[in-house]
Amino acid sequence: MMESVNISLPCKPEYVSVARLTASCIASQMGFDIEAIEDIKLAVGEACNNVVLHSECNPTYELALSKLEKQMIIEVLDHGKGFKFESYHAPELDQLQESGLGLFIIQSLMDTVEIKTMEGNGTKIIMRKDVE
Amino acid sequence: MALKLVSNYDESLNSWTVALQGEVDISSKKQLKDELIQLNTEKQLDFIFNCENLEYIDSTGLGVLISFYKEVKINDKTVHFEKLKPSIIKLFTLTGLNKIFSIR
Repeated sequence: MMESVNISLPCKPEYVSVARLTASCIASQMGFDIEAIEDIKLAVGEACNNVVLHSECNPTYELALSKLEKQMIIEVLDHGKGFKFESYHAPELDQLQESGLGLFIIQSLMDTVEIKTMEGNGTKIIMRKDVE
Repeated sequence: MALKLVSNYDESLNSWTVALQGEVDISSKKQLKDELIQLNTEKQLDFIFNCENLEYIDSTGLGVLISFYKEVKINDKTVHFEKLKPSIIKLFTLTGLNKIFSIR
């Protein structure tokens, strides 16, 4: 049976650490190793950063952390402005870009990543990681 | 966890040594940027970052470091990172920063 922790966070930088810590606590309960817990913590942090920096959502967004037997599912949902996913390009790492690394990091650290977004209709990012 | 910077001028190395302690994230990146720019304005030298107690850094923190690196390069100076934790080395490698920054 799937059990979930759902929290609603203010769209403000100072609450991103709450999301990170909650996610790493649940990952630890599920038996992920230290490296995987750090991956999850960073991926959740990056997903929340994107909401706070880009979505213009107000006043809150939602984080859902679900435990399956051998998998953690993390959903970050905002009701902000959304974006055109087709216009997203992975960063050119040799160009030393100061921004745009967040989604690339999430995709590198999690096992699967789905993004549902539409201009004007918010964004939902669903990330999964398997317990090794 | 908050961010703390402990900065000193190292006379023997003629460099700034900066111990980064805690977390660099979306809420502390401005503090990092402001304190580094202040040091670089005071004296333009190489920077040695001691990361022994740096627990976490995200892409917004890396963005500050990249833009600061570009700033010090203008004066022909550089940045070095020491004692990074494995999770942070992994992030530097993932983003290609291990090829740009001197890591020891």
